[in-house]
Amino acid sequence: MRILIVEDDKALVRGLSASLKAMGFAVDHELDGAEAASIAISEPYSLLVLDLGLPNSSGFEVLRQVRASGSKVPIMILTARDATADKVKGLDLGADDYVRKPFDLSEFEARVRALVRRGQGRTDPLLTCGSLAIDPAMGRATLGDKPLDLRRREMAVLKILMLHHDKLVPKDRLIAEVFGFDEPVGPNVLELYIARLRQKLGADGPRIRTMRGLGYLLEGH
Amino acid sequence: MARRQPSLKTRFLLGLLVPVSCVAIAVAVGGSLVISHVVEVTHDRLLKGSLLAIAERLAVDDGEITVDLPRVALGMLETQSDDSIFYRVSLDGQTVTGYEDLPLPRSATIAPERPTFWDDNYHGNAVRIAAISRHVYGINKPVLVAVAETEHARHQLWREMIRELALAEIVLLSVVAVLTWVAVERGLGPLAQLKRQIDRRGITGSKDFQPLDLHLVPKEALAPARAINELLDRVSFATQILRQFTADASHQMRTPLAALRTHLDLLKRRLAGSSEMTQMVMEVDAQVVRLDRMISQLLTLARADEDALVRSPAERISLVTKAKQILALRAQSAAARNIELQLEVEQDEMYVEANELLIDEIFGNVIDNAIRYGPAGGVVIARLSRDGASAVVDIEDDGPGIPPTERQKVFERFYRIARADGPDGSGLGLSIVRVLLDRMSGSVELGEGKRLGGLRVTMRFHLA
Repeated sequence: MRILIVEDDKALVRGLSASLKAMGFAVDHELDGAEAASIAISEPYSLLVLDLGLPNSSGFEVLRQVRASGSKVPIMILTARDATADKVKGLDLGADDYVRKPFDLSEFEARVRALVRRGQGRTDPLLTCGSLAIDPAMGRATLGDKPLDLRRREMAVLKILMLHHDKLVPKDRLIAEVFGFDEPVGPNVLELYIARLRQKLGADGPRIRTMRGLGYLLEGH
Repeated sequence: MARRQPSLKTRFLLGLLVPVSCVAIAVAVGGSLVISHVVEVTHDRLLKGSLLAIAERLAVDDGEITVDLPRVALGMLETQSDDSIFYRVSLDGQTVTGYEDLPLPRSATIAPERPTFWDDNYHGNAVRIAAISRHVYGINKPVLVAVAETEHARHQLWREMIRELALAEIVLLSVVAVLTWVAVERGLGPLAQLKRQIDRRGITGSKDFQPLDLHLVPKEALAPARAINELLDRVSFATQILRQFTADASHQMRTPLAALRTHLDLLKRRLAGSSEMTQMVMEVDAQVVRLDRMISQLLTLARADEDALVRSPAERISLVTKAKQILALRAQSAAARNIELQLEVEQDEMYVEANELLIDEIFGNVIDNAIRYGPAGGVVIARLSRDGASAVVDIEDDGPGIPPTERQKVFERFYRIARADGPDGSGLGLSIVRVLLDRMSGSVELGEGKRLGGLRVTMRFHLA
């Protein structure tokens, strides 16, 4: 669950990062347009937040390159421009949403959730797997009727496993989706989160299976 | 003392009339000399005739000189004027007959048989005297015959001729003056036209910097007209720069504003519970919203100045439908201040040809103002009616209104009415309304609402 913010205003990036991290996303930030396009194509992002006025390359150009590569990542344009022509151009080039600066933070967050959800091919805002449910909007997980107290990173790992339940999630993919570029990832850090999750899910919850040398799998039943 | 503006007409007139007058004076001087000469020659010829007639009648009778003075000799000199004729025949200084005291020529030697003329004075009268010296058979000395005539007829003739000359010159000068005036007036006609062309540019609200049409401009005025075109070009460029700057600046301000607002939102979440701090954050938040609104309005103005927005495709828009839509969009903000919105439609189905965005912006600004500045719990009425070829939209509220002295000023950009209790505005809303309506050849004016007693904003649109 990583989000790439392509924006050259650092103060805005800090604010957005704070909000997105609190939502459980790992956040990467890039201010150079050309660089942003290549990262966006190679890394498994859940969402691209794209400013139109960038140094070196316009946001439209990034958009064109990302879509030309065949990437289906959801893209939100976040810009000061409010001319209809810009909106039409952005959406026609393959953006999924267009948000004008300044914006209301809660609306931005709701749009992020919606875009991420649609990117995962879901329409139900709730993530469920057996008796386990996660409400991304509230940032709350429940097991049966009981609330489950999860740390931010634990929640992120669990969300990914739930999205792909009953399927193998390779370890490097899990790491790539949970951690941003500038976050140090120790060799055993993932094992640590998995261990904690198993402990919190207990015997009643879904089981996380380790497939040595491959990755993890969340069993629905 | 203020210097008078130089006038081309005066210059042309002076330039022509002064030389023409000089010529006229020269003609007058020359003419009077010629006239004097002609008068003298003519009258001298008559005088000479009389003189010769007398001289012909000289005879010697018994060694005595006799003159058989013919009536005709003196009759020749009789004119309508009351000139007097005098004569004297003398021999060797002794008068033979005639007036003894008639002056003789000062020079003693008079060429024989050649009449001599001179001016003299006789009994206080200016006279012209002709004299001839003649040899008469039987007398060994020449006989001197002199005829004098007073000069009334001469002077009269001279005066008449001079008068006619002067009259002719006055007529000539007047004709020249009138013709010059007419010619200058016609010649300057294209300048007046040029002035009208220039006047059409820069009318309030209009940003027409089209170059002047130089086809009809006379060659002589081409240089200034070209200079004006260059100036128009530069003004147009400068306006464009300003417009672009406004647009760019507004855009640039939005990003920091977005950052500010994002952090504020984050802060609000942290502060949940601490009411005093929340209050302060809310204040900051309200100012951010206000700044955002101002930036949006600045952008609208910058775009309204561009022709692109106005020239963008016009559609046939039903004002009634539009008004309903826009009021519906404001229902929430009106409800928040407990304001009742009412729509009164006196004339169904009024259509205007306009860009929909412009109509949205115009209506939106006026209604927003009514909702923002009207008292909480008040009423806002939008009334649509028809007046000839115009659709009239009145927006009335029951707020404090705007005093007549301020009604023009509020259309100026950034002008705000000083009010202790009112909300802070950007001072741009009404200027946007006016600029956009100007662009659509509509109009807007402020007055006092008859029914609610607050402000009434009356907008007129051309019906499609």
